[in-house]
Amino acid sequence: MSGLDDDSLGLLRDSTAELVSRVVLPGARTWDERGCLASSVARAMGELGLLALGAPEARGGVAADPRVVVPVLEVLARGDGSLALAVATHALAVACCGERSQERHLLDTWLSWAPSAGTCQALPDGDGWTLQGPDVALVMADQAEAAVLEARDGDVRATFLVPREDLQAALGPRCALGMRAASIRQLRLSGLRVGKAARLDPEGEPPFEHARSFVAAIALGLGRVALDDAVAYARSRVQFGEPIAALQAIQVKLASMATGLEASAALVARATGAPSSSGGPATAARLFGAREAVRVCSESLQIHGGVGYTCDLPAERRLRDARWCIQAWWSPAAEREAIVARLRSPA
Amino acid sequence: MNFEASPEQAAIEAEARRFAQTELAPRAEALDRTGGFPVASLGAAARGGWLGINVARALGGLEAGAVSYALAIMECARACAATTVAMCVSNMVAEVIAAFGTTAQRERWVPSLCDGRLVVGAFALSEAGAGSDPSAMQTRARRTANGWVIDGAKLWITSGSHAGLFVVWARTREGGGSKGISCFLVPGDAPGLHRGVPETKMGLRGSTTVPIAFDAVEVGDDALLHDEGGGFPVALMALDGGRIGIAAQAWGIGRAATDAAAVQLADGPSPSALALWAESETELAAARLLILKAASLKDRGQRFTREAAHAKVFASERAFAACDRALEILGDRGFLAEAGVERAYRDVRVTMIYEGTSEIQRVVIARELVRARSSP
Repeated sequence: MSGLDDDSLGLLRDSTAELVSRVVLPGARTWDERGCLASSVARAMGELGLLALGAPEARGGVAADPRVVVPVLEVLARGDGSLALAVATHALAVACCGERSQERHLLDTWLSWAPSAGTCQALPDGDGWTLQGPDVALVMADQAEAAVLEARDGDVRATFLVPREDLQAALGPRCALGMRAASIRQLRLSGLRVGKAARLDPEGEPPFEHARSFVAAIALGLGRVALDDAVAYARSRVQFGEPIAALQAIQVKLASMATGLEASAALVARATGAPSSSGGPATAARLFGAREAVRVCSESLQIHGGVGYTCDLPAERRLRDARWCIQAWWSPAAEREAIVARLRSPA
Repeated sequence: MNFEASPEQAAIEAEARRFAQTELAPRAEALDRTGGFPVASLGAAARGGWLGINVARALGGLEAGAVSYALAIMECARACAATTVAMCVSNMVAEVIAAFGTTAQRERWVPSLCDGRLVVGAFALSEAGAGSDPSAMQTRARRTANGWVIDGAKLWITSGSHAGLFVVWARTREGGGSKGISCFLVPGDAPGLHRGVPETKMGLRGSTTVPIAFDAVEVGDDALLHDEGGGFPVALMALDGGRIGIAAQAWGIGRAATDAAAVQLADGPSPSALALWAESETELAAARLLILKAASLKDRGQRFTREAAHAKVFASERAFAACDRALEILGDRGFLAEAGVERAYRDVRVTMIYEGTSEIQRVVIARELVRARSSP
């Protein structure tokens, strides 16, 4: 139940692609340099319905079903990794807001979301809770109006919608390498107080598998556009009297990049097509896809040579953005452990 | 076979480490953040002799040899890769003039490169249409009654914003491919030499990379370095040595990132982090041997083209991998500027590109292998 039939999904993808070429690609370099998205982008996303991903369908939203979100994220990532990450994070937050997402203001401003269940405890404290857990990376820390924080209250999932002003004092340094326009900052959870009104407690499990699929989709989009640009450049760049695409050294790279992306896409499709659980298809798609995206983006930069190292082209930014996907919310080591745990558990 | 540095080499390494830690390291993060050109650090480098490490004492250098040069560059790059690349190129320019210049050219230019009067030297070979294939260059030098007139445009010139001397390659004969190319020494204040706007780059943001235009730049007969039409071998020889420098720079960056991550391992390391660390240490150790092997051949006056290419392709690619692993070991903390690892990741990436891409290094290696097999 994606909430969208194939035609509607196709239309959504097309209008997203149109926005990407008209607004996102031209703006992305500036957003990266400034460390934030243009404020007009939230409105544009809202008009497309991309801020209602994850909201109840009855309220005009679209379920945070990966079958809808993943293709959209892939298209957005072709324009800008940071924007795709902002939309993905927002969709995860909205999905956790349940009935609260009816409040209209949650659907025309950015929301953030951070997973920390399992390691983050919500300890009762007066008329609210105090959180206790390791620092987390908070996407859109400077731009989101509020953040959904995942925690555990004893054995129970505890979810809080915390306004930005209450997070301010707990925010640490920015992620400097990639996804700069998504202003990712370290959030010190330990000692953070949350009030009674902040508690959401939606039904079901935290959307961790969706988060993994979304990151895999962003990585795939970054990789695919990096390959497209590399092919175009290799066909136009002449050295040694011919386009470098005629050189076997370049052909080997392009073939290897395309093959890797085919594998990534297959994993994303598998993770998207069926419900996933920890250590399952979404974990594999994220773990493999992010690593493959870094390799492809790095090779694309390499094929561009010196100009690929400059900020005049998106190649270097895509490499930095893709590198964050490897670390996104869960370390690769933790992901591998999850895969092994699944292998060892009785079927 | 001896894998130890000589006492003299070890002393240079220790001195370079002290210089790098006192002069370069404290400025490195701000330099990356604000950009610009490390004039003060390069002044200090000149005073320490670090702009003429493998240059004769008579010409103002340290005369410490190629192995010492590699050791010193590794130490400097651990502290600040951006300042180090300006040092590498300036050393390369001083060496190439010392090797190919007339007595008058050497005495005029080399001492003032070593002592910083020229700030640094620059190496102007690449053009928009001539990167991996420099023989495709379009810059022309035309004979006049008492010298040459140079017209053309160079690209990606390291230190181009501040360099006091440019070694410039230009075509002096039509046709003839690489045989029609000559090499010239052009002062930075020559009328008609226009410095463009520095590129904004992924990393090495404290080093300038600049397009340089030559608009009817007049130079005298004494500006021609080596023979007319003999410029291309000069470039190739300079790049052989230059690749040792870039390999050493890459190694230093990978070393610094690995050290920064190892700090994290002090408190309760995970087995997976230890495995990553071990992998990086193995590859850095191998890269170091390749670099020192090439430098040692150079010191003994032997051909080292293949060994320099081995060192450059391996050190740059493995240093990039080491920076990637350092990020993985540190997790979210690695992505913050304060750890220095994200800067290393951005800085090291270019070492696979400049002074011959990895692909070109592999071509060089293969060519040398075939050459060795076909000659008895």
